[in-house]
Amino acid sequence: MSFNKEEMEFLICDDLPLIRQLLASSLRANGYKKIEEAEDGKSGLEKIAKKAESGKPYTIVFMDWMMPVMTGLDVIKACRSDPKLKDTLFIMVTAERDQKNIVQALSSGVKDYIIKPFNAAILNQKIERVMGIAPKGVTK
Amino acid sequence: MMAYEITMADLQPIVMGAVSEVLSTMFMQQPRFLRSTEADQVPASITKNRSISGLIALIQTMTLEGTVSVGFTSETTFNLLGQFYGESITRLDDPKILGGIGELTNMIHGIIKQKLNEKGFQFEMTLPIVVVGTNHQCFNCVAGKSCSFEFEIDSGFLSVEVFLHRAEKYRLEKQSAGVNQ
Repeated sequence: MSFNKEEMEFLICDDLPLIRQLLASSLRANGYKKIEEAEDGKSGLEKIAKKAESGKPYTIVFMDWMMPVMTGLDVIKACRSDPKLKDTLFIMVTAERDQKNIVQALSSGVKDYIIKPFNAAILNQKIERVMGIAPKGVTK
Repeated sequence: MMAYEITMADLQPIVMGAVSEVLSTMFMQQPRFLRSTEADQVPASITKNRSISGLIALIQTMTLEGTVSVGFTSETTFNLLGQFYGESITRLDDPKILGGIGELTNMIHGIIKQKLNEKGFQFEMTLPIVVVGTNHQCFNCVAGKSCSFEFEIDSGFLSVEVFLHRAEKYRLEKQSAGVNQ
């Protein structure tokens, strides 16, 4: 499977400017250009819904775990229960390394997770894996 | 078997690995270890020259509990995060600085917690707080062991302090088992 990097659209949903900046610069370093940001879960959910209504949903949503107003898990659950948003592809971004919490995230419906700290190469491996062009087990 | 004690020798490679992973991955800077210090008096503080600190508790239901704190000078903070954001930031209470130091602390704490849990502990994730004040110190107000590690990086200096306190539940368990402290 191949994909056009310039056509892929990403949403970064994180309350921290440090992580939004890291994700955005890592995406640009990998040749991805269409990047939007949301500062909390509620505004992230609104952007996901609006984009889906336009007929061009985000390719991947990077979702923080702990956020004010609405947590990342709450956003994912809301999308999963909405027929129009249920196919949204989420990658959870977290500093949590405990297996039980990662399992909880995966069972809520995220496609994959990325553990902070990360860099552009690690991020690209995750995207390729989620898009189905890299085998499982190649990223940390 | 549950591990009950952590020594300075146990902590040093864990802390050095955590700082190295975060700084090299996020900022492409390789920290150089300068020195470690241990203290056990109350109130204990071996932090110094800090103008901003991120603190996160190490909590679990038994054995040890404690705190991880990560501290920077003003100059180091502005150099490190200013370069990362690509802009000049001159206030320590700028939200980008507070969030950045909180998140750096979160990442370092996350790695330390994971490595300790691999030794048999069950530390949980908790939220960071950030303290700002020129040349402030962080005091531990209960008996325990304070282990501090100082590093030099291209942007300046940082220190990590791990404070460990034997939890009340563990003392009660040992007393009921007739084990001397």
